[in-house]
Amino acid sequence: MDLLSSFQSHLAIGWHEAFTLSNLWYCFVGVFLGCLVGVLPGLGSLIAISLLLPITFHLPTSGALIMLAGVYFGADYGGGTCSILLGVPGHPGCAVVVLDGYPMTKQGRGGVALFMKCVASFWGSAVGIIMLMLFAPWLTEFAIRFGAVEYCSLMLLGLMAASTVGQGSPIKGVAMMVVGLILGTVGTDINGGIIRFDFGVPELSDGLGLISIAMGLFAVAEVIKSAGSTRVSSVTQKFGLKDQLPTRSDWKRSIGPMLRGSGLGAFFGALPGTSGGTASFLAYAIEKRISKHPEQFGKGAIEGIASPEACNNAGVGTAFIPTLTLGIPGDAIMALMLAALVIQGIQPGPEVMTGHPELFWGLIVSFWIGNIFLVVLNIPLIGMWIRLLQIPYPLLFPGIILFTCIGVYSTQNNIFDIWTLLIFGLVGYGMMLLRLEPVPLLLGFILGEPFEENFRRALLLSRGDFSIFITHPISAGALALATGVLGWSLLAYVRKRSK
Amino acid sequence: MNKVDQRDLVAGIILAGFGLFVALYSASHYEVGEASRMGPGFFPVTLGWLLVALGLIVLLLAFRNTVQVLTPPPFALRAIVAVPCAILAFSLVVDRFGLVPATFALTLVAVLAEKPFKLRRTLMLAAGLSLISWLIFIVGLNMTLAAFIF
Repeated sequence: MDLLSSFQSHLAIGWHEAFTLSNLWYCFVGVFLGCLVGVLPGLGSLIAISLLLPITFHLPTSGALIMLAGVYFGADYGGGTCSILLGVPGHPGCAVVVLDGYPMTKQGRGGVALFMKCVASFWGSAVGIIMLMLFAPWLTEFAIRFGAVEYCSLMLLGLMAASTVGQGSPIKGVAMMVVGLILGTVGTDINGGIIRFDFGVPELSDGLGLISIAMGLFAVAEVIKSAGSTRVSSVTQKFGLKDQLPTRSDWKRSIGPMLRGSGLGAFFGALPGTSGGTASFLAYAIEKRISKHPEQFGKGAIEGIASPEACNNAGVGTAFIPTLTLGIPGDAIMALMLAALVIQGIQPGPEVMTGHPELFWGLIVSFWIGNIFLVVLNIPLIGMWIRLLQIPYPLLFPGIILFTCIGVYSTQNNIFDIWTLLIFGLVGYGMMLLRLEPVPLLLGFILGEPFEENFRRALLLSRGDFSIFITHPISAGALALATGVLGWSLLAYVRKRSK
Repeated sequence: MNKVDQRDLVAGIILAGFGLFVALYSASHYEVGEASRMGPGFFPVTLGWLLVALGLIVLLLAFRNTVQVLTPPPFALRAIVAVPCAILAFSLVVDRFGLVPATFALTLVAVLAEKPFKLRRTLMLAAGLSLISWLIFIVGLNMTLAAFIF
């Protein structure tokens, strides 16, 4: 019963932290803004979080993290709405919901699809958060004994996984990760105090701004891309509460897929690199395989919504496990979360939980609150989001550019940050043209400094002997996994190409 | 003989070129040291050469590419010019004249990314965006940004 009592005391700490008026407000603002950005086509959680990251400069620590986590959950809910109603995925993570969600809309059952998506998302989130509550304390105890060698190899594993499981060529992914690591070395070298790659520009001695790079690569590049292409968007259906209620058979068909999807998502979410849709496509494929009527998939089968959505949201919760306990992010969104911690002056790693229990447990309690807010925002108030989908893009995109500009400017009141944003916007668009993916670059950039620091420390300890990475068991395991991930993705890519 | 994938060719050249620059620049400007006592140049030099190798692989694979998974966006010249110019306009105006004039400058340039240009609608949009950003950033978040500088 020791576990239960420690659980209770932890929750009490979290409850106390999350239920202050200001933190409730940040949680609400986070999920609301997340939904708002997520529901717009082409803008997913990554853009939503990078748009709102500068605002966290002006917030207290727990408020900042609660808001960003809310944005993440909210963008996931919102993205599904866009996928179901317009047939355009809000972001890669919800691309799979289009397959059956949009056919349901065309059959006039869009309301039911939205409702079930909400239920499945809530269920998935709940499973993910419970896993986080169970495993994070355990992993922290384990991680506190890690040294530079272990961190170095674990970071390499995270980087390798995130750069190879994307859609494109794994070689290009790794190359972009290396570019990110190189960009991370700009500025003052922490070990020797020497300024690298500043080319005489004083602003560069502090390094490139993370927010400018993230917003440039994602938000600005996306605006350039979609401002130039034509779009169709129209939603004609009305959605009252009555049109949303699923029938008994809908419920019966959804429960199994939801359970399986959430289990799958919880497992894959904790592993590095698997977010962004991989797991939810797998969940969809499994449901189709075991279904008694696979011919209905792609034509409006409700299982095709319940399982991937539960999977997606369960992964959101468990993705926080390695991020908060080890300080090693599994994807770019988690990397931005870590950046938010660093902005607040907290060193990511096991000390987050041991040194700031109120922050950790407050965040967890706020996950619950945020998900309840989201159900309220998405079921009775769905009409509001649908009206938002009607805003024509010419009215929308100047606003997006404006908020990126004000956002980067407000962090240091420095015009140089806006120019960085501009350059990385063009770089990001160029990368799209050359089919180079931005996510590994961002992850490499964020992990560049801690990776170099741990790498140098590890080799200082071993007097330059590289075998130290293999003789330490945890490090050897991580490296073996990293090699396995790389080999497997290369093989899969070669097979896909020769098809 | 397969057709050469031009996008991968360009990508490979750029990556390898960038890597080469980083490796040579840091080798000549910063102390490299050795593995047991790394200087500030060790990490960038290693990464630079690694990138050269990866870029060359991408370049070589361009000659035998058949199937591509990612589809690049269409090349849209109007947007490529208008969006960066809008950001530039904002950056030139904001610290001299304030947030509201900068918002108008940005909006007026940004809408040129799409045809047709409608003046009335654009001015109303700029006014609306000014109000929203004033409310969020100056009133709501107390940022040190002036709405107008005279």
